[in-house]
Amino acid sequence: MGRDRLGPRVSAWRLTLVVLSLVVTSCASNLSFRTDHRLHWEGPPARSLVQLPMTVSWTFTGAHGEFVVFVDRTPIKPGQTLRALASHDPSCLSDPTCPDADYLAERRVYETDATSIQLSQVPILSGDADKVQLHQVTIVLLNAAGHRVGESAWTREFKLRKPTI
Amino acid sequence: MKADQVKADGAKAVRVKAGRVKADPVKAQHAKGDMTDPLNVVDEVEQITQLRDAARVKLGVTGDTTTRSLREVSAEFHVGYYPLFALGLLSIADTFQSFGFTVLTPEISSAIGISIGAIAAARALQTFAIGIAPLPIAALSQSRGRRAMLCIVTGLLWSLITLYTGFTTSFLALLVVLFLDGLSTGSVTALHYPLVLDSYPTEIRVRALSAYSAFGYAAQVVSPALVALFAGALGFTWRGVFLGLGLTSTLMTLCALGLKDPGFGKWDTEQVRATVQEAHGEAVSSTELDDSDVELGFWEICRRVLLIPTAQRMMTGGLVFGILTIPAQTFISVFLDQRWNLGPGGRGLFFAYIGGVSVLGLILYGRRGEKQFRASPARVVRTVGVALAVGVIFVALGGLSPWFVGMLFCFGVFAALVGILGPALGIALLSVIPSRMRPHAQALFGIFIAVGGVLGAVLFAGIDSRYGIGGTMVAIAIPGVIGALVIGNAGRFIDADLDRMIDDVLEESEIQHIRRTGGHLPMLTCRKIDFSYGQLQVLFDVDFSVDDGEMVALLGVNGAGKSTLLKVISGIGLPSGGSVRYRGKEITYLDAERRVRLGITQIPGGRAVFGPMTVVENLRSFGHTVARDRQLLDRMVDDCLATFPRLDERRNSLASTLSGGEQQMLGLSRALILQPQLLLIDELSLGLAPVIVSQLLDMVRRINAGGTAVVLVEQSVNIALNLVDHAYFMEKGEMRFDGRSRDLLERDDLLRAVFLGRGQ
Repeated sequence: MGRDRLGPRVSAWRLTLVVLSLVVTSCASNLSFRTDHRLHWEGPPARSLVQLPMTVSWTFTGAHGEFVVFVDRTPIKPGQTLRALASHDPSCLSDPTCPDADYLAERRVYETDATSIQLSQVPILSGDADKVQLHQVTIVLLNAAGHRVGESAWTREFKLRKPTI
Repeated sequence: MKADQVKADGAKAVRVKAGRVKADPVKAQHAKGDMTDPLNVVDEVEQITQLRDAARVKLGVTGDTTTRSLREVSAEFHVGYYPLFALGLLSIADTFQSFGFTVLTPEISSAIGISIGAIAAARALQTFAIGIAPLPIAALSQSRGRRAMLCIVTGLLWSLITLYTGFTTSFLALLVVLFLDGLSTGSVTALHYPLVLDSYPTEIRVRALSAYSAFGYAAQVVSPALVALFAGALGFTWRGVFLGLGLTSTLMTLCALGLKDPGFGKWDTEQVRATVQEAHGEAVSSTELDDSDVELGFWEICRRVLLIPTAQRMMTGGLVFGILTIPAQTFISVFLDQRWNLGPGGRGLFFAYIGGVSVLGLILYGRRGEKQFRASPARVVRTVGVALAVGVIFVALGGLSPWFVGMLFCFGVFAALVGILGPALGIALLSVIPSRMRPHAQALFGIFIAVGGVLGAVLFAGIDSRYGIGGTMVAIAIPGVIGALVIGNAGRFIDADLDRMIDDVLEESEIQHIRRTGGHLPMLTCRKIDFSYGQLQVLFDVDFSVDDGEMVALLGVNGAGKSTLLKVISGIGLPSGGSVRYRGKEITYLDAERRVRLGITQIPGGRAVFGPMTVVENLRSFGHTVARDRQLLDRMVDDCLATFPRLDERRNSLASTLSGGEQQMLGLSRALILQPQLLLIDELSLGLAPVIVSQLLDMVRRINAGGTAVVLVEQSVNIALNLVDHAYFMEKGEMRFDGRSRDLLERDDLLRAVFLGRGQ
């Protein structure tokens, strides 16, 4: 009997908790609902078969800070700095100059204020037995303070023949 | 036809008709002392045959292939297209969230910085939720006709969830929305097919199911088109796309607000009941709800569904089909990407083409399937088998085709053939399932397919890494052919299962008729019981009944099936065919524990006591089933010990230290504590001294004199027949005699062979 009386109250609490957790986790500004067309890709052509070294280039309309290019990896979250990439690396976190360009390049991340970069190496995708692998580069923007700006991200896919070992 | 054969057939037929009531010739002879007229029995057989034939027609199996147009039938029965339209819209809206994630995962990952692996894990959780959700949805719908309401509420829920997806910023929120979406979409699997079936007359059901399935395939065109519209033409990000999809889904769900639950079995089982009522010249009335005491619970229903041979084959076939069908979409995508260099847009167009061809296949199949079902449901199942086998061969050919057009053609044939599986399997499976259990059957079928899907994903991932995507496409044909054979095999059972369902409904209706007309119903009726231990069948078509306060003996040698029949009555064993009714209510699939509460108690053979517990503890444990009150329990235990002074002397001894007779006394005392209305005693005298047996039999007489009906299973003919007037005799799993005890004593043909040198 007691359990029956408690039932609806407990369910209501659970429901409230679920709703609250949903609301709290979605309380963020700068949500993008329209596609950001400021960046236009110049090369390589989408899903084209390329050879290394290769150039990734684009044009950008309007003012911008730094571009960060992520090769085959997920970009940092909006509002984060590149130090988020070293969040599990205490030695880097204790060094105020870290992460530097070499550290980032090791992790397939390239920071630039130009509108192109040259890639001399691209990782072999693990668990993929096919001879031609599909890779992708993603560009996000950083502001002057080094934080990722908004949710805008631009991605391009290209294909590379898997090197024979 | 020989007279005794007529009599035997007549007896079985009358049991079907009257739910094993007094019309049984043997019982009639036993009760009234006159002979049954074989001509009357022949009449009754004919009447039953006519009733069953009429029932098959009501269920849409007419034996011919004539069909009328949808419009004609809809007009005659005043059923519109709205239920189909509403459920179809819901089935399309159901796909939005999943499709949105399938297409937009890379954008979501880049925008909010969550890895694709994490999103894939959340999708796996959603898939898990989709797999399990139909079960609770089926449970929610089983006792009341609220399927339409559940469909609408869950539709609104998933629409809101899709809307909300556009505002999520964290992995946790994604996890929650995907899980809730998976849970809410369970209504589509569990409820839509049963609702379509109950919304339309049997004459147009295959077409109704085909049309509904066509909506599902149309979703493959609508969903990509909407995503293309929002993301392309309107320039929305993934957030905007989910807002658009959520709003569209909400509008579509609002269009379904007028959906009503037509009631369980409106066009089939209710029509069969009406046939019986008309045959008796009674006014057609709606069926009362089951008595809550014997209404099957959720798991009892699931178990019951899985005991139906057609359902067993279908579920197994579904598992194999799942191995093929769920990973196929993923591997086809990879195949198109790698072999034909199709990007997301091209692949979207390909799947839209596949969806379109499936719709075309369904349009072509609808009327043909209707004709097949009307002629014989087994034909529908065989068609499914052939369609699946041929379909997967075309997948393999498509995988090997060096020409793009050839590949398109092969996959198109595959889509058209596999497209018809939904309605064909649906009608075949659900037509042999009682209407209230259809959501459960659908839910279980979905789970079997999902489990197959997981197995398939692992299997094909291995094949892909070993033989590449081309090899995988060819390998997909193997489970397809196996699934086709398993499903095709179900065709052997479907006619018998359909008749079984008809018999159940006829029996139920007859019992209601008997109740209404004040006729007599036995306390317990077992009808046409079949029972198997695995593949070994041990009971064959067994009929058995016990009246209120009656004491009957169930005789036969070891292995005759006596104890098994007791297990079926007490619920420890579930039959593969036939029914058990207690006071007119079906209890065939009720849990043993619930039967104890109804008043059925079994004392198993072989000293049924808890050896490591004392006598008093044993008695308390027996009483725990009916009374938790300690004082009441103590009083019951004291009464019991007063009846058996010998047990009182040893009240604190371990049961394992008691003699055989004392242990049997302790077992029998269960009857004193539980005070059942029906007591089943298995081998009371086995291995006991005559003086002990005599004491125990005195106690059995006293229990029976108190109003408890007793079934005494015995090998000793002397003991049994001295105690009872009515005896049954079993041999090799069949009931060979049902009549007066003294008549059995005159049946040397039965007794001599088995009791030579023992009782006689």
